[in-house]
Amino acid sequence: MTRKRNYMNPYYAGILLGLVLLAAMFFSGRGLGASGGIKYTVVAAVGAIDKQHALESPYYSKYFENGESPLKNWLALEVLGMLLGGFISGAISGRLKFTVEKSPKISRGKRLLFAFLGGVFFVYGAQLARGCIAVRRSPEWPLCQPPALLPCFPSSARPTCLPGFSADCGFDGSKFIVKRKYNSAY
Amino acid sequence: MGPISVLTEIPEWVNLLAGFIIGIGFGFALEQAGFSSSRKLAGMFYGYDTTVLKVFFTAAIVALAGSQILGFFGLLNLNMVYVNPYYVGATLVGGVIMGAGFIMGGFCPGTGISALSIGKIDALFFLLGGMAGAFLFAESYPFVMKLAMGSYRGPVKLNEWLGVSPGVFTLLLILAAIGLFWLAEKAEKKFRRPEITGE
Repeated sequence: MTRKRNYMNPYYAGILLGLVLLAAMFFSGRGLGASGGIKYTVVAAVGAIDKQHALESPYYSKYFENGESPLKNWLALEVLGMLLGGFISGAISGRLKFTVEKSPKISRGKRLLFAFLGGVFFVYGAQLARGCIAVRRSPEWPLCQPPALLPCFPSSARPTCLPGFSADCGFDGSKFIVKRKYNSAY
Repeated sequence: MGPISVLTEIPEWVNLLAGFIIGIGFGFALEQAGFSSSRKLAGMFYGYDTTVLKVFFTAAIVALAGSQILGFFGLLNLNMVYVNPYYVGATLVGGVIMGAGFIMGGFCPGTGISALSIGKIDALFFLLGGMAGAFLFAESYPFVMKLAMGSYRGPVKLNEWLGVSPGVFTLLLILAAIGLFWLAEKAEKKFRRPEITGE
């Protein structure tokens, strides 16, 4: 087994993370994320167990449009990569171990219960807020750029599209429908 | 010129593969930073470990400065990079709920995945709870939709809200980060708990 290594200096780790984030923006035009990955897993599970309910629900149905699998997306693949990346890091640092990390003041059972409840609250809140810190910090948190991603956004009473995008987008009063087509000739 | 997947005709599988590789980097960086330890993460709230602040602020200023530089040299079209839409009520309420979840569970999804990858069973329970939370949200969506979709402000950016140029904002953020790093180092000295942070 590899000798145990210390954690990386936090500033160096921050630089590494910043470069990973930059790579995501440069290559895929988006920031990093994780809570969305959990959402997609649940959506896929619901679809597998009760397809009818998934197709009828205003929440789930949008992930099954055009017969697409909810797992076939950037975020789901990214989360898979995270598991592998974390494992590699743990392996080279001698930190691989099945364990329950907790304060000595509480029992294992209590720790696991609070971990579970914490997960329920956190991801519920993250779905409401549309992203946990990894996403909200990037790109819109640090990034200060001129009008960004959504090619269509409501202004006054009608949607407008940035030049180069087809007018296949709008706000129907309750949600965005963005079927953008980028005109590469632009 | 980037973003590559938006502006060039690459096959979808290439973009998905890029996501996978970027995810490997993300997971690696998080675990190396120590985010696979819930006690280290919780230290941010109690002052004995400010790794979270140092790592995320450093990452933010690296990505911010980097994207501005890439944009300046025409290598990245910043107009094409995704910005989360801002819904005031949903963000505030969701944020409070997330905070409660974090201090209860000691993780957030990204760090939970990082911890799970090295064998932490409490992280597994956290993520299972997370799936339950996501399911709860999905099923309760018709009831919370009004809150979730209310007070829409569009993809708001901080520099626009502050009324400063991107360059000035970058400078302000770097200065803020330096100030916070200094405070963080002081806090760690004051509230030190080497049995948790000294790993």
